[in-house]
Amino acid sequence: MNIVVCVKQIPDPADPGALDPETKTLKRDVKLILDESDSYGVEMALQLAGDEGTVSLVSMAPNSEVGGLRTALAMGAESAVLVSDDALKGSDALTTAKVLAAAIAKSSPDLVIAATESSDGYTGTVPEQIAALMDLPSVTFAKEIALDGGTAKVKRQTESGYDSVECPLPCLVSVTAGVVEPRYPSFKGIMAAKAKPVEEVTVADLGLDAGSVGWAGAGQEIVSIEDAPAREAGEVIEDEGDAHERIVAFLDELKVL
Amino acid sequence: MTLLVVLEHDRGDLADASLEALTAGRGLAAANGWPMHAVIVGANGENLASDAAKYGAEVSHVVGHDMLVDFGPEAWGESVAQLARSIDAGAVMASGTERGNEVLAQIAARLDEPFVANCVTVTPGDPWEITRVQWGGSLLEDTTLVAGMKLLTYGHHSLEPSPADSAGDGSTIAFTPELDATLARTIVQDRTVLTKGVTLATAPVVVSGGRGVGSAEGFGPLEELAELLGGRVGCSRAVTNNGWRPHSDQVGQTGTRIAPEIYIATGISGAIQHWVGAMASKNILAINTDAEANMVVKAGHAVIADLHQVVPAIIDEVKKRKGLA
Repeated sequence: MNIVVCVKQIPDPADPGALDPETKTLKRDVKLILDESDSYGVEMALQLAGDEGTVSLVSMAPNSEVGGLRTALAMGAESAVLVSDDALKGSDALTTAKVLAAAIAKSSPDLVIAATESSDGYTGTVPEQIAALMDLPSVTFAKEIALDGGTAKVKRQTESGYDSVECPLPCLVSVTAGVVEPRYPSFKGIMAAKAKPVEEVTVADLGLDAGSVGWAGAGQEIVSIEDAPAREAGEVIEDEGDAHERIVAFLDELKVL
Repeated sequence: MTLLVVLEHDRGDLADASLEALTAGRGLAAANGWPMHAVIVGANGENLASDAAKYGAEVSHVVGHDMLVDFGPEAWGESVAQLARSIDAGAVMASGTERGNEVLAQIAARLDEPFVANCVTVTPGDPWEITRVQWGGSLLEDTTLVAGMKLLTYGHHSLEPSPADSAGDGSTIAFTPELDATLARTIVQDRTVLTKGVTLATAPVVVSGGRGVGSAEGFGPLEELAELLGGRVGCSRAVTNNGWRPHSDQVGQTGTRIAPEIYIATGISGAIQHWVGAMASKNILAINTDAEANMVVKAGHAVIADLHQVVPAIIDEVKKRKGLA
């Protein structure tokens, strides 16, 4: 079983840093970490691969950034492919999917796992586009994956429960956050990760045309970015013994009683 | 040119989110001087054409095929892509739900056109100017879109649906796509419903607890209040981490995004990831002993109080009003 997990390296959400006026995204020269959303996919892949299979990683990041990849390698993944190329600056979601699809195809995996959406860019469109570009069947919003011979049996989260969905391998499954408990890298794992292979490739290495990616290839260009306006400052009341009455009066006003 | 709106439904039950998409699409079509068409894929879809007309669709394309009984992103995406090409659509849009984003992502890859997800505002022109959310809604991104066929979804809950002022009867056109058998590789075998009645995502009232609740048992009063108000209980990540509530109750970026009439957040500090899941709520009431808590600062209404005293008092007061005590 050869499993590839797509992982994104993002600024720390607790300290996301400044916006880059050039790329109109958050500055990537801060230390990047493994997007927490991806740690669930890495964990699922490691559980599914067991002792027999292999788990490798694919990531696209500027400046040869490997901080987040090392975390996933320390969890137990064997190797990684990092696509890092100045030509990728300004790539939109579809371009990102094309680049990742080309990098994934190099290892002909049985299963591709991705998170449903990244914490930062938040488009939630890349996994489905990778599947379509690679002509793989896909199941999204998985909360559980089981492999049975050449078939993936997936519990797909729905608003009211889940659907039991099946598709043949190779396929792509996107995994919902919070559905497994990602392991903490052990000290031994962290040390071992330092020696694990990370193959860095360029756009040209993947056989893609530099003119079709990045700013040049993007039909969608970010022109500015700003903080979302905060809600209007609200009413704050100290409880002076009548808070419950005021709350119930408010609920009545909203007609939810 | 035509603006094509993808309607989401489950064997004939139209998703409320699609009414939002039709409402947004109507404005966008008018701004372009284009007619709005709807596309309805899958079994029993023809019953929805009258709803689409009510919201301003001039034509409903009913896409039928043996492989389109239930939702499948590949077959739906390919079908809509074929229709969009055949009617020379200038734009295809849907609501930014899970399915809406999946179908549009498939179309984007199949037609090699860029797709902008979860838009808040869209202004046609040359180029189109779009505002969308990043970082789960904490940042607004202004984007320009240049494409032969524009593909976009509107953020779910980003506008109120409203029927057209002067709706026509609308007409219906059948469309049969050519689908390769490999597009039906993903098959739904069974459906399991765990939540009956209102779900966390659709509840009109959500009563939520955080670390401040203190224990699994501490959720008893919140359960009681939620039931009295016809709502559901939610929780923060700290609570699921402690094993007090299942993950399915978690509100947030890695949980459920809610949009109730009122969100009552008790003992929740309000990390950004939690706020993202709650911010579409029409009203937010925070109950917390810490006046500096993020939830208290951001909520429209906050009460500085101990939830363990206030919640039971609210329950008594509600019961009194309902004549239950």
